[in-house]
Formats: sequence, C-alpha cells, structure tokens
Amino acid sequence: MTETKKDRRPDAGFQHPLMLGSGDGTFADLALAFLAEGLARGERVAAAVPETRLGTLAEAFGPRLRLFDLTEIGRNPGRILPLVLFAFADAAEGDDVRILQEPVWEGRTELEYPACVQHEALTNLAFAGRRMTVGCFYDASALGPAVVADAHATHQGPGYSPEAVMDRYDLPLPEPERVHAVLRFDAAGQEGTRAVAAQCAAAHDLGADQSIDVELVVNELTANSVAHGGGSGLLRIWGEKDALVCEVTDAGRFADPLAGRRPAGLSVTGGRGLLLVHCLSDLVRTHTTENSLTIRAYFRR
Amino acid sequence: MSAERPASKAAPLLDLEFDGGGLYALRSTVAAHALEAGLGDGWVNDLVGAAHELAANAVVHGGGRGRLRLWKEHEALHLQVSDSGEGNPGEPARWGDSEGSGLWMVRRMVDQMDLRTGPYGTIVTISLAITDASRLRITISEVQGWRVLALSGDLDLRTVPDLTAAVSEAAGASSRLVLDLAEVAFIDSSGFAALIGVRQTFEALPSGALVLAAPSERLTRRLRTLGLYDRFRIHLTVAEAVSVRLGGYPDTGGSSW
Repeated sequence: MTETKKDRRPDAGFQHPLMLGSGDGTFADLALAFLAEGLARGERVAAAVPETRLGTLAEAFGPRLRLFDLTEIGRNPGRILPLVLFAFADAAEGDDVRILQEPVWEGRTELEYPACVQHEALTNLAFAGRRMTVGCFYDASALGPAVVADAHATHQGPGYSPEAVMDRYDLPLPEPERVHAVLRFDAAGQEGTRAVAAQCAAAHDLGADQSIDVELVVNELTANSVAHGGGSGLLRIWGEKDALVCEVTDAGRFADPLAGRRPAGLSVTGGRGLLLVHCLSDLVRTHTTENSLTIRAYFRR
Repeated sequence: MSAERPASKAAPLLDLEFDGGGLYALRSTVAAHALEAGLGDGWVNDLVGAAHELAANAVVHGGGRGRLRLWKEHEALHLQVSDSGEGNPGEPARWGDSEGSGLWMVRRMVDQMDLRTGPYGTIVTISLAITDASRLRITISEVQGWRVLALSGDLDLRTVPDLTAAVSEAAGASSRLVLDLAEVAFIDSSGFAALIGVRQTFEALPSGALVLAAPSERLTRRLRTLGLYDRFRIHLTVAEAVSVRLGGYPDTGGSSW
C-alpha cells in the first residue's frame, strides 16, 4: 500500500541532514517545515527534542506527530538509538520514516557532550543504506562555533567526517579524587562484583530500585570483561557531587561500534548486556586506548 | 604479637589490616570474597554487617586499627577481627566486654561467635555456615494440565543452566508451561536470553504454550525496555495463567477461579 502514496521520497538511502538555526524562532521555522513535509508525504513522523520544545510541536501537529522527550529518555545519549530512533523506525511496517532530533541543547554538560557527538556519529552507521530521514536541529547561537563544527562533521554535507570526530572525542576520562571501592576480578571473582556494587549504592544513599540498576549494570560490564575483554578487569566505584560512578577497565575493544545501541529483539545470543547498561544508566562514557577499554556508567542521585 | 592466636591452618581468603578510613573498602571486599566463597546471597549482608561492627569496634576501642582475616573451613566461612591491644590504657574494659559495643547485634547475625580478650588485645571470630543451595530455587508443580515452574532467587549466568535443565525436563512432560516469576530477585542479560530460549522451546512443541506469571513491576519495566514485553504471554497470577485458552484469551466462563 505504500507504493500508491504520492510524492514518495525518490532516493533510497539514509538522510541525516543538519538544520542550523539561530534562536528559538528559527527552530519553529526549520523544524515545523521539516516535519510538515514528512506528514504531507504520508511518512511516519516523530520528534525527539528537549522538554521545552514539546509544547510548540504538540500544538502544531497534534497526535499525527509522535513525541519523545530527550530531557528524560535521551538524558543518556547512548540510549537515543535503541529506545527512540530504532524503536520508532522498526515499528514503521515499511512506511517511510522521518524523525526530527535535537540531541544537543544548551544545558548539556561537558561530561555529556562527547557522548552526544558519539551518538550523532554512530547514527550514520546505524542506518546506513536504510530508507529514512533523521534531521537534526542545532541552535548555533546558543551552542557556539565548536559545537557547530562538530555537527558538520557528523551530518551529511561539507565537513562530513564522523569517524574522525569520534576519535577526537575518545578522550581520557577525568580521574576521580577519591575512589571508594576497587576490585580486580576474573571469571571466578566476577560474581562478587555485584555485592560490591550493591554495597556502594547503599552507602551512597541510592534507593532500592536504583541500587538494583547499579548492581545489574556492574554485573553486565564485568561479565562483558570476562567474556570479551580478555577474561578479567578492574572495577572502580566512587561518588561524585550528584552521581555514583561505576567504571570497568579491561583489555577489550568494541568489535561492533554499535554494541548496546541496537534493540536485541529475540536474539538468544548476547547483545543485551550493553543495551541494559545504556538503558539503566544516566550517562555512559567510554575511552579506548590501543590495549584497553574503559566504560563508565553514571547514576544520578 | 606472639599471643595472637593463629586464625586457622586453612589458607586465608582475605587478610588485611585496616584503620578508620578503610571501613568502606573493607565492607565491599568482605562482600565480594564471601559471595565468591559460596555464601548465600541473603547471608552476605549479615556477614558484612558483622564485619563492620567488629572492625569499627577495633578502631574505636582497640587502638585505631586492626586486622581482618577470612577463611573457609568445614563448610563454613569464618571471619576474624583482632585489634592491637593498644586501646585506651586508662580504660580497663576492652571493647569485647561491653554490651554497648554492637556485639549483641553480631551475635544475632551469625551462627557462632568466639571472643577472646587479654593483654594482647581482643580477637573475635565469627562463623557462618555455607549452604549448598543454588541461588535459584525451582519448585515444580502441575496445575490444570500445565507444568508450573516457580523460580525464586537470581536468574543469571550461573543459574541459567538450572533453569534450562528444568525446562527440558518439563518439555518432556507437558507442552504447556508457566514460569512463575514472582520471587525472582535479579535477572541479568543471560537470564533474559534464557527466557527467550524457553519461549522458543515451547513454541516448537505441538500445541505448545509458555506463559510468564507474576513478574514484579521492575521486571515488567525491564521487559518493556528490552522490547520483550509484547513477545511473551504475561499474566498477573499463576491462576490466571493456567486459565488461558490456547487461543490466547483468558477462559473466564465457568471457571472456578
């Protein structure tokens, strides 16, 4: 039935255009036009934007537009792919898909920003060759020239170089002032890491639900080290001003850059561990060196 | 230190010295080693709590620091805390003598406690039996022609084989299975993969059916996050699950439930 639709987008590949605005007024112009075009073509249309934009979009399009609040669901940029973009696109039953995205806004912290760049770069890889459009709005006047330059690198057009910008943001992570728990583990000791995580979560006054999240995330990270990271690793846990941080370092590397960012569906073989890590953490940062992989999961208190 | 009683002939799993700043790390370390030594999940917190009380006592009353040893012997885990005996010289009562010291709490938590105090300081040894029970308990029953496996505990990398074994046994006996998840405390990625495996096993059987019953709110949220919630038949209770017609609708007419 999609064949009969008029004005169906002629090109087959993935479109990831950058919409560069300046101020809230331009958001209204650019975003509304982008979304209206999709609706006119009979595409399935969604917007994944910070909370402050939701009202404008709901008013303009009503129920025809599916809305995702990135302040909440996209707090960890690593879960935008599995929980928003893939989730919406995979449910489209063959219809064309168009998504407006604004993953970087003024309130994003210095700690979160590299994860945003990584998400934008990986979006190209995630949907390469797939017939859909993800248009990204950036408010240049609020975000500044460096962010705009990065946005050019992760979106189609002049300056496109997603791999280079991902490398550039694969930065060493700031060393904590004081670490509360350090545990070296291997296959035999991996199970014990869960108890350490639970203890630390309780000591940092995390609630029961969040403590179980911490326990599960640490379990998945350390199990990953045992299975794919050379069989052993180092777990460190500490508190920061407003977060509990769990870090696992091992001798592994990301064989699949999209690991943990794809829905696992009904697969019975793996693919769900890092996905759980992304879904349950408020932020995930990674750093790779020639012979090590470090993953940090942040839990907001 | 010649008066210090040797802990045991068994090789220690843990032997460390601590002071007031190290109590946090001490708790984590004791927990990790106790779990690894096979102490049941529910007992680990008791042991950790007891270790903390003893170590804190050594810090406050026993000269600011102490030594903790942990070893496994005779199907039990033993933890010993000793202080240096350099406590307040003007205070004749050592910490081990005082009932205000939290020792009553320790006594309640552990199976056995041994306290010696003298000029060399105080040595407290506590013991907890290691029960051999798997951290996943599976109770099998038969309800209205359905095989029901009630799971209790952790479904993870280590216990998935127990589930798999119980499921293949069940598949030989019945084509209809209910997994009662009410008492599942923890489930990891291999646990979720195992649930999908069970679904495949039972879907492959002639007129086979799998129903998940009574998942906690948290587990339900996880299933939704992973996009698995709609892939399973899920019911709030076992009673409701076994009244399901194979067409997928609850059988309410004439049901005695």
